[in-house]
Amino acid sequence: MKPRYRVMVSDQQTEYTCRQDENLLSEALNQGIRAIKRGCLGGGCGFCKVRVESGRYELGKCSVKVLTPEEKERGYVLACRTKPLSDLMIRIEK
Amino acid sequence: MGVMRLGRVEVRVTDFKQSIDYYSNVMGLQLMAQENGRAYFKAWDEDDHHSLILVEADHPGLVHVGFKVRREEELDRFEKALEEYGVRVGRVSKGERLAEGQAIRFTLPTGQVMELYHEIERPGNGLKLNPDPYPANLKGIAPPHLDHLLISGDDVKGTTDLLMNVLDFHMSEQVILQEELTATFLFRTNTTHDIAVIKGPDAKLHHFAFALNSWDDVLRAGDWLARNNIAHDEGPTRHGVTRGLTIYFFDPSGNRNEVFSGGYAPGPDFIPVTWTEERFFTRGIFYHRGESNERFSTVFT
Ligand code: FES
Repeated sequence: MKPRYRVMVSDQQTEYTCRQDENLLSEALNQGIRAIKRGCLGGGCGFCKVRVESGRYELGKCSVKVLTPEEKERGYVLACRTKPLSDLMIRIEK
Repeated sequence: MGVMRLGRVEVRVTDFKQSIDYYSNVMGLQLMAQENGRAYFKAWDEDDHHSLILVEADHPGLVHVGFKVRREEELDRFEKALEEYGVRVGRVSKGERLAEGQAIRFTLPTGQVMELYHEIERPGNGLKLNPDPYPANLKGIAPPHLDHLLISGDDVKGTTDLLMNVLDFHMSEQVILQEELTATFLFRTNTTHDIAVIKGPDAKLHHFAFALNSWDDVLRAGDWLARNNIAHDEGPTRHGVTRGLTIYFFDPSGNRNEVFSGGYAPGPDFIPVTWTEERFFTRGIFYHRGESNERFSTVFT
């Protein structure tokens, strides 16, 4: 079994766990947690953009039109393309 | 004479392999060829070599939309007419993409690249001599043909004017909000739309749609999408605009797809339907639900 990490949503007092080989959005949806907005699930629409405040993660292919290199540097990710490598604190900015 | 139909869309995908698998096995198109970083698909009832081209890129969206004209000579006529209208026209030479002849290429006022062409290889649908009603090897949703697309931009009026006055498209429906032309539905075939234009970000795609034959097929497509965990957007339901039956969903790179059935069969003399702010948002977009989700109205690629 792949390890599970805690994902804390800092601005919503929500918390769930995510397997290392699953993305943050699908795992939240699987557990009935609707903190993150669900769009295309394909890294293309930017609907699920969140900011990782702490923790390590792996970011898969994202459209450069919805997640710029500068945003990446500042910790923004597309939740549907992000897999945790440690416990994470994320923030959902509207 | 003139423009016959929506012939092809060329679409960017971020994951080439996964997209080929999706369009082959979930959408159920036929992969005709793969060459120079492009994949070419046709739907089963189409005679032409392809109607969908995928090309790998770092973001999704539309590369170009191609309409097929009845005769090769008409390319010269349209080139002249477009230039007289004030649009710069380029030529795409034969063989730039697989199986295609030459095309003329120009940019719509809303920013999308459009091509007109006539020549393309024609393998046929395999149902021309004493045929069965459909082939035996269908898989996935298996729509018979590409149907329409919806593009966005600021100058809805400009693109509509060009399509109607230079390319002789007809209008089935229009949306006028606070006296501003917000969307138009235009056709060359006898369906409610071959292309639609909506106010939104320039040069973007809202969706492209494949045709289905019945409400039952739309429902079964919904079943198949759910079974395959495809990201769902809206439906199965009915649109007020066009009366069409529909489901919206996303391909693996976030391009929105639709399968569409129904509507009505307008002729060139059809009197257009108008929607206003009074009913457009409640009954125009999704007739039953009376509202649309934020994703549907804000996600463009
Ligand atoms: S849901 Fe579309 S980018 Fe994540």
